[in-house]
Amino acid sequence: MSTTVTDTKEGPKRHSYSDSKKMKIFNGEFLPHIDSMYNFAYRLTFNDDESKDLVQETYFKAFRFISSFQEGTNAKAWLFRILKNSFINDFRKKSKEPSKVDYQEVETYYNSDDVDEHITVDLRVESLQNMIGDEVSNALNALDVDFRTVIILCDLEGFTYEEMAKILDIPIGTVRSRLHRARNLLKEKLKSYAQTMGFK
Amino acid sequence: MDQSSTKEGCQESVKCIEILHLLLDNEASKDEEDYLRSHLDICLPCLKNYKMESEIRHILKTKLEKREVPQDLLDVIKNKISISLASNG
Repeated sequence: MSTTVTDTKEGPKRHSYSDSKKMKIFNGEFLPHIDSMYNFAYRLTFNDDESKDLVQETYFKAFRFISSFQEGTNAKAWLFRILKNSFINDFRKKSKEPSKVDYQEVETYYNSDDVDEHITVDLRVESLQNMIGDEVSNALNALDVDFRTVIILCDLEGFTYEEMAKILDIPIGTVRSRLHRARNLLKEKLKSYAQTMGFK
Repeated sequence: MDQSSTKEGCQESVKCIEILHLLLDNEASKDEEDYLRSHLDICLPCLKNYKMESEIRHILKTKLEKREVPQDLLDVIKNKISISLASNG
């Protein structure tokens, strides 16, 4: 019934939950986020089977390490963090595809380390409204995974900058600069779709 | 009176864009929000930007397909957790 909390020398406090409490937390706090988790996994992998594996692995890990989770706190952010780490550690390695993010940054922002650099991408609101889901999806999916991830976490899942910093293990300043760059890249992709469609 | 807007654009655009994103992400302070809201009343280039950035967030939220988790995946997860608890108990 009651839970004991143990301080460890390193890492999070550990909670000793009873089996029924574990099930209550799992069903009541973890499972309600499974659709968001599945969509996140799919937008990282673009593959049904890999998404399923990633979500399954995330939930098994979450259960195995449930003693590290404080009941009633931010389960969604905790689960997203586990899924993101599983993706980086396991799935990205399997694909053996080197991260292209540094090259993309260099290419797009050559000569500038200025986080606040403003690149004007002129897009008409009507052009955006006329786009179909596939075009929006293709524009997002064309971004490198690190840029795609911050857009997903912020704009689709509504995480705060602070939550994103914890999920991604990066400082808030890096969250902001990465988001800024991701948004500029996304606008460029959307603009090229708009031009292809003859909107503008 | 804010004189920062010209026909070509906003002379404060770097600052405005930064605050604009903070505002749309619900991360702006009260002062930043007040500044931008009054600035948008008089600066057309920033107002145009604000509408475009709002619309991009809107189409991301509304036009992307949302998948439901496959039932077989949900069943596998629930079963394995139950088995894991039973075997420990």
